[in-house]
Amino acid sequence: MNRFLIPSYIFNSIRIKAKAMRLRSKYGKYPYKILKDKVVYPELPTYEVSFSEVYHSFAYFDMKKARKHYGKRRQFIIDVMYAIIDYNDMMNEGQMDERILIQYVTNIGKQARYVDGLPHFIVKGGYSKFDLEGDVISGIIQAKVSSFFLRVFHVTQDTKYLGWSKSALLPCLNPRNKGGVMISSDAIKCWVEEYDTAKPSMVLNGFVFVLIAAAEYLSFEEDYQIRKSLEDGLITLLAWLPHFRYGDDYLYSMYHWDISNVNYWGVMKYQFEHLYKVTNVQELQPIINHLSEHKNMDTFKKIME
Amino acid sequence: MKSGLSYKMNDILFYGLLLVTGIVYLFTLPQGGLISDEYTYINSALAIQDGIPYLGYVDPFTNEYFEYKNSHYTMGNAFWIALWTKCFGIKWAFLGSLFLLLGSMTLLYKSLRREGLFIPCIGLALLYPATLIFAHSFMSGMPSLGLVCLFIYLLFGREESAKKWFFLTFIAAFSFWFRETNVLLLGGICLIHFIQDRRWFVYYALGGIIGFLPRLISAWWAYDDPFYYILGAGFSFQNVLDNFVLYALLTVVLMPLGVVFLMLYKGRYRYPILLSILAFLLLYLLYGYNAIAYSGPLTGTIVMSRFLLPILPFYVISIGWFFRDVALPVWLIYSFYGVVFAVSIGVQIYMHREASLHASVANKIYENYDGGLVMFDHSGWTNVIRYVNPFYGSFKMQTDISRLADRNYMTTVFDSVESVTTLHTLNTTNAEKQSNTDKITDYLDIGLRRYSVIESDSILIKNDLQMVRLKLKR
Repeated sequence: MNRFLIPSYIFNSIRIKAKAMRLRSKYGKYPYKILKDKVVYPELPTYEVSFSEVYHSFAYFDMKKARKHYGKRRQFIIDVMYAIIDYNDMMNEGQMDERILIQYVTNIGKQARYVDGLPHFIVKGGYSKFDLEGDVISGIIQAKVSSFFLRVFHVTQDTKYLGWSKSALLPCLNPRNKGGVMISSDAIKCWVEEYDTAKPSMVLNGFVFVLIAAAEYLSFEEDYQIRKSLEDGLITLLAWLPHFRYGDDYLYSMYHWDISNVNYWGVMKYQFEHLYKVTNVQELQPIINHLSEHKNMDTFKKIME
Repeated sequence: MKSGLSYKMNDILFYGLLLVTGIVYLFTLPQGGLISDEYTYINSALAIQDGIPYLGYVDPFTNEYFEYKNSHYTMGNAFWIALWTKCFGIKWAFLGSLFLLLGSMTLLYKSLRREGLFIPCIGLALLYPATLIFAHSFMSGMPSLGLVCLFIYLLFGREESAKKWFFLTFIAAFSFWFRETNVLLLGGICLIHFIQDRRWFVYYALGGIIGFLPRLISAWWAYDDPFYYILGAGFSFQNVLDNFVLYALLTVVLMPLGVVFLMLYKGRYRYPILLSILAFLLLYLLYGYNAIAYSGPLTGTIVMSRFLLPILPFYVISIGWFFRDVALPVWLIYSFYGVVFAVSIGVQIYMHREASLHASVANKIYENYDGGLVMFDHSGWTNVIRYVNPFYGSFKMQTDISRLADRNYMTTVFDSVESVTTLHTLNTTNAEKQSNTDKITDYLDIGLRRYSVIESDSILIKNDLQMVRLKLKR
């Protein structure tokens, strides 16, 4: 259903815009600046990596719904999502067609630009909301490509795709000064950025996709850099999660006082469930419960109908 | 000598005009239709000819039988075309439209002559763009025109009697089978006349009931619902603002001063005719469909002008009545006929060239793209139907393009054949409803993600229209 025909969506949109304006006027433009000193780091949580056969983060979609939702939007990240969603559909139907997966691999591969032997999936053009200019890579895109290749490996058992999965993930785990988008500072142990901003932007959902990709990869093969990124990333996520929450809402990033809308609410619900499935980190249960039980989920389901 | 010409001379000019029009028609016999809807009628007619409501095909990979359920309209026109396809074959079925053109003009001419009206104004009927253009089509405009002319012939040509009004009511109700709005015009005249002169109720009622029966029975047969109807668009007062300029153009310019002459008409049956025409025009003013949005101003105006074909004969009658006692200079009448002759020949040649263009595209498709599975839109809602249609030929293996998004079906296909061909049209102007083309884009988008394109080419039909062929393999 068109979201603008759903009263609860419209009401919520107005409410979160008003709330964001209030926070901005109260605390200034940049949340990170206010919150970085309040962050308290926990111990590394107990975790155990595993692989979720269905890519649970997109469990709310099938090809038909995705097509309806994305319409004519042409972005590489959406192409990758279609690949994963089609994989999910085939997995759910129990009718996996390797040749279709390989066609998606071919399509995705065409977009790769190789730097130091690793595929970089470049996001072209600027994005003024995050002060981006020129071509950049993005944690979320590298992670989704990696997750897709991992699934192709899972289906075909061709280790070439396992290697490609790792190659797709590694570029974004490198620090910014080494061509990656991983940031660290006194307040941030490890955060892989969706947007390669000069100041930390810390888009929440983008980072969770990276952690999912890392955890799932490690369930097949060990890698020091990926393991380190996952562990430091989990600690950072748990340290910062309380500061993303404002009342009953979550900030979208630490770059603006923007509150996640109903759409991102649903995205986060499924991706946190996914992260929980593949790490078994118990500390994620409260946010999953909150996201799942909130009335926003009813609205999200209506949008996806 | 009401026109300044003798009756004999009028006869010579009129029948000469019909003869020339008919001969030119035969030399420019349509090679195909220019309007997507025509093909829905053709498909329906071909099916009726075979005693079934829809054409169909067997999917070569699943052995399922699919029907081309792309006919959405009331079935009178399809039955009419079926009569001609049955008698003369599909390529000569356009003779039915020629018959209607010549028959309508003859009936109208006879009505003018018998009423002692100004006869040369019959030429205005041929100058109205929709008349000759739609005479080269299978659209329902021509049968509607024919029925209206028959109605007028009987209305003016018979003494008042129960039998006359039985037949007129029958025609009015029967015209509903061809185009729903006809009944408002013709039925309106019957109703208003009945209110004025309350005799013969049973005859009116019987005529109406019997006239409606073909529609009810055929809809029951084809759509499983005797009261089936489809609304191309809705009705609202908001539409009046959008439509006003267009209908003003049609009724004042393309029918020169049409509304004025209709208002000035004070001949027989003045009020039934006038009120029914006003109701008819009001209905179209309220109607939400406007072809200009899809086909551009020029083509759109011509396409819309067909809606007013049923009032065209009344317009001619009103002109004939207005000039009934005027003896115009003979040179002026000859000149006018000269223009009508020239327009008749010119329009028909133009229509032939346009239709030949579409036919050549269709022939290219069937000659070059057959082989393997051919996938295209069977819904009838996109204009691929103008080129890929049983009217032109058939493929060895075909299926609906929606199945491109059906992964399991495509797996079955690719297990048997190496490649499939898709056909779709690409419009750079909005020549059809966006929501319809979006569906095709959806199927293609999903298919192009899953399978690789090994060949692609296109046929440029016009500057803003291409037929695109893709060959896909797994």
